[in-house]
Amino acid sequence: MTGSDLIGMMILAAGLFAIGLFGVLARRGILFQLVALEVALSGPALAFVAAGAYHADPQGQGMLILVLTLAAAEVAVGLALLLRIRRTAGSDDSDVISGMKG
Amino acid sequence: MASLLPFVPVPALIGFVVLSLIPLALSRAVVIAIGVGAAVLPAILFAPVALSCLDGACVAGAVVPILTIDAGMFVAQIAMSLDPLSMVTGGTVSVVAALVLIYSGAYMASEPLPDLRRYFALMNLFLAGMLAVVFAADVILLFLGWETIGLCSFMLIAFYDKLPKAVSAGRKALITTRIADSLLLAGLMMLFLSAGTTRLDGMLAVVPGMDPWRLAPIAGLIALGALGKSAQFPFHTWLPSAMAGPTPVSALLHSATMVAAGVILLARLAPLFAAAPEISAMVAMLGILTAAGGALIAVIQTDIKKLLAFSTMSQIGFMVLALGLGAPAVALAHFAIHAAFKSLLFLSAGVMSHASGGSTAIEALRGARYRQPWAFWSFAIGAASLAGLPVITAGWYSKEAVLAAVWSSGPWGVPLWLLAAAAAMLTAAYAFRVVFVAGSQSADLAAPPWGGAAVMIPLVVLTAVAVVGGLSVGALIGFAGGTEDHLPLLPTLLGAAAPLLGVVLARQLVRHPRELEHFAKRLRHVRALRIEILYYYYIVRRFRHLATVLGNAEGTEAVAQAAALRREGVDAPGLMADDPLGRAFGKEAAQPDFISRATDGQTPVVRLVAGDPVGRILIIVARVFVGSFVARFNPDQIDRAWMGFAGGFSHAWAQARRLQTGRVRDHSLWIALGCAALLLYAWGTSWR
Repeated sequence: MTGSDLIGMMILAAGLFAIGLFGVLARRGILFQLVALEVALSGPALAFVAAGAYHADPQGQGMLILVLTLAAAEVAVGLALLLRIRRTAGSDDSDVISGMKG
Repeated sequence: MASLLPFVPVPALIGFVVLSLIPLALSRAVVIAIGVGAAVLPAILFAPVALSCLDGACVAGAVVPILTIDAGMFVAQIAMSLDPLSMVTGGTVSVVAALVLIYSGAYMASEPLPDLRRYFALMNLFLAGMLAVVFAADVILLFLGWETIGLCSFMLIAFYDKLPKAVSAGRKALITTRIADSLLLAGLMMLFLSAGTTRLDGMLAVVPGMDPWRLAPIAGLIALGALGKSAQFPFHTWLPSAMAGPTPVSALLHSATMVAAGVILLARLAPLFAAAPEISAMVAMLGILTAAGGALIAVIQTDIKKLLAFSTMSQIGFMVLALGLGAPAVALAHFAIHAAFKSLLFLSAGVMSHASGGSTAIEALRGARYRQPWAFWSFAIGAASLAGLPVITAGWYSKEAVLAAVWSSGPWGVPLWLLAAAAAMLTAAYAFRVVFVAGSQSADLAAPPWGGAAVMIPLVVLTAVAVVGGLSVGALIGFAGGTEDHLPLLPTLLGAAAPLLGVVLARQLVRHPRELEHFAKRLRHVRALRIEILYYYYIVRRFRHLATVLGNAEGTEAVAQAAALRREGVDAPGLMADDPLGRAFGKEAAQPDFISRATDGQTPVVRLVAGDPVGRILIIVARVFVGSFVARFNPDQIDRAWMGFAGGFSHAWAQARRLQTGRVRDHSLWIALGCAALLLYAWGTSWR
């Protein structure tokens, strides 16, 4: 893997993260926000793997496993929260739950 | 012996786990036994560690590793340190917490069982978190403990969760300290980026060689985080409302945990602040501001718990002042003594208000000296220590040390000292106001029996410390690595006179209502002679007529205008500020029927002004003076700009409130922007 490959990968990773962040910000449905969050997480995961490959260091793959675990846990908790919110707020619009408004 | 240190918080943690997570049905006695035992054991476990420390084990400072995470090039170590700082603070925290929990056993005994269990579980976790903060040798453990006490204070302040007041007070405390916590976290992360280690000693080692442009923001962020936890201006608002929790919670929160955490953090990172003088100056300024302001507000409080809350703010302000002036050892000595007398004050006030029908109003305590003599006298001794009565109380020695550190702190020392001495005088005034009220006779002498060994023991122990603890102040300061300054004779005498003056002032404040009544009675006698009626007919009316002719119409118009603006919710700063009438009417103009009454000349102030020709003429003279003289030298622009600037603040406040929309998506946008800004800053300053 050459330096220009790494830069390309990093740009791709940044793009993935930006798409995911945009999705979280722009979507109102909690389910879509969760999906967008997964996309956002894959950006840094790719960056870790690419940097690990470039430096020939297994820590990058180690971090990928950590990110995957985190994503799995987040989906589990997130879906449970989604069900709960649907039940209490009667909707899956994230703007409805704004009880902490100043 | 130092290796015993990590086990000190463990009993409290076990107590929390057993009480909150074990699903077995525990009886009331068992819950109290576990809760109290888990809080007393840390103090017992800490005793041999402290003794070994006094024997010289912690002169150099020992670090006890707990867990080492070895991640390739980077090693994170969770560790505890045994040094003079953790010895003094750990001893204070564990002893005070043990005494407060013993007292709680009696105080909370009448609560329903689930609440009792929740209470003791949270108190134990609170203690464990605080011990983690004071013993921490790395920022990971420090921040874990820091957040634990924040969470516990939230849940304990909102303990009576059926009361909306308590819940909102807890939420306020959580949110206010959370804002400060995020600043602290940012500061700690930036410090970590510079140092590359999570250990506090490693972080402090890189401070001397650090670029000042990098150091100042870090020190500023950390200082603001600490001040938020310590309820210093401008984060002070959460502390007085935190009184909604049970009294023992207040006693613990105000003496040894929570508000003390900020002081401990500032003392722990003292070298960082010594390297950033401008941040230290800011800390000292906020400290003296809180010390004086808190004392002033405490003087006019009518609720004893509120009074004690402002007192805590003010006393912590003294500690923060000493820290800002580069005397952490002095601040620690004051912390240890303050923890003893402040918890004593809260606990004895709790007993007195129990015996006074459960009310916390100061007036309700009238006669407490006869209903609960023990509690009254221990409160009086605590108040004497808080006031710092010379020589005989512990508070005098530690406060004197703070005042001495202020005096000898450079060119600003003397004015700062004067302000601090004034705050000390006010401290005596508010502390003794309560003592005088509670010590006076009252008709109601029915004494509901309350108390017992569990109440007496903590009171007696704390009373003893509040009196004889003063002997240890010098040794404490020396032990913590500081030097005790000694003042010249004159400021020492003045410093000793300040609390005595405060006691006299308190006496006058308490006497004042009776004096006033007496005076009012006298006045009625005079009225009987009809002198004032003659005076009114022959003198006042003439002048009043003259004043009306000279300019009453103009005055009423200004008042009506102010009232109209007020009613629309517009604060008219320009009008209020440049018009003496408008200023005088500020409060009254908020009344709904003000305009009609004002134009009829019926409101008291209009009557006063119109009926007081001398005052009216003064106003007219002032108006002429302002119009013909001042206005020429003061083109309106400056005034308007200045008032606009002041008004802009309330406007900005209202706008800033809208930032908090409660929407998840806005929230994540701000998180993303904040992270990006932090990353950019860290990248910009670390890139070579």
